[in-house]
Amino acid sequence: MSTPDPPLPSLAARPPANAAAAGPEPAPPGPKPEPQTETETETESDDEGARALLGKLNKVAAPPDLASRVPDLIQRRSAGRFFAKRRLADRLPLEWVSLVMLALLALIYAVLRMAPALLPTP
Amino acid sequence: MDARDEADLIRRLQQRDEKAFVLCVRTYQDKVYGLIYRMLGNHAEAQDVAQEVFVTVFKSIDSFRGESKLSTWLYRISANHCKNRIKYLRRRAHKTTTELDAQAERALQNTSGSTLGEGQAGPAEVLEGAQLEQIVQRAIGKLEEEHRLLLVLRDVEEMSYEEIMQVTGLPEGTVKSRLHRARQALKEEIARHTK
Repeated sequence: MSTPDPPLPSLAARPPANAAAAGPEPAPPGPKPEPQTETETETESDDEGARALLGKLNKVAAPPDLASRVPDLIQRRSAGRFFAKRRLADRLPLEWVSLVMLALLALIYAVLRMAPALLPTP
Repeated sequence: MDARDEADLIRRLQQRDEKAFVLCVRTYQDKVYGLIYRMLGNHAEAQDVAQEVFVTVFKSIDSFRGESKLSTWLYRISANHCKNRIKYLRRRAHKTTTELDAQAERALQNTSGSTLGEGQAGPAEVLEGAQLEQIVQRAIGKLEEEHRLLLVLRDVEEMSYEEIMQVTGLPEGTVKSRLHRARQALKEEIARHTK
């Protein structure tokens, strides 16, 4: 006489067929986190070691002529549209030029008015 | 540069004021060049890329929204240019050599023609610094671009995580985990070079 087959586990205990679509079940609560292990301590010290090495690298300074080369480059690439070299007349503000001219004219006028008084009488 | 001065500088840059642009270059050139040099390991390439970065700043300043500091934006442009240059050089199979800085070169020359390890007299600290510089820079050059960038931004330029997030566009957790992997990779590269 054959021994009876062990009873099948209850269907209710099986997860439903669409469990995969619903996503994985949450993991059962695990043990409390252990205090920091030796590996974690080594990892942190490795990070600190790398940081210390990188921190010792010399600061690198830019070439001193970079600030003059870049505007020249922009001027060339823009065919003079930006940062073009301007003539002296273009760089002087018109107001100053006007004031200087007026002052010069006033001076000439004053000299011409005073000229008869200055010239020796024959 | 405080926020008010920076806002004024940005306004003048957007008006294409030449003096403002020169001031911008002078103010940020060391930071930009430092990042680029550490990424590329070559002064000639770094000078070329640094110029391109500032040309990009000039062209794109109108698109700067002021949501971050100007320096952060400059770093972002620099990082993108570096990544593009690295890819370009890799395609060209260009072997970039890591350069010693001028001080280290002089230090090596001042050891009466001796090579390292022969015990000749010389400023020990300078030599040690020069060797360290060379080894570390070479190791940095072997890393992936993303690792290289994070190491330089955090451990060389000493930027905060927030600034790094703004430069890279990565979330904080990703920055930290990649940074940790980058440091591990650097340690392995240095160990390989010092064997």
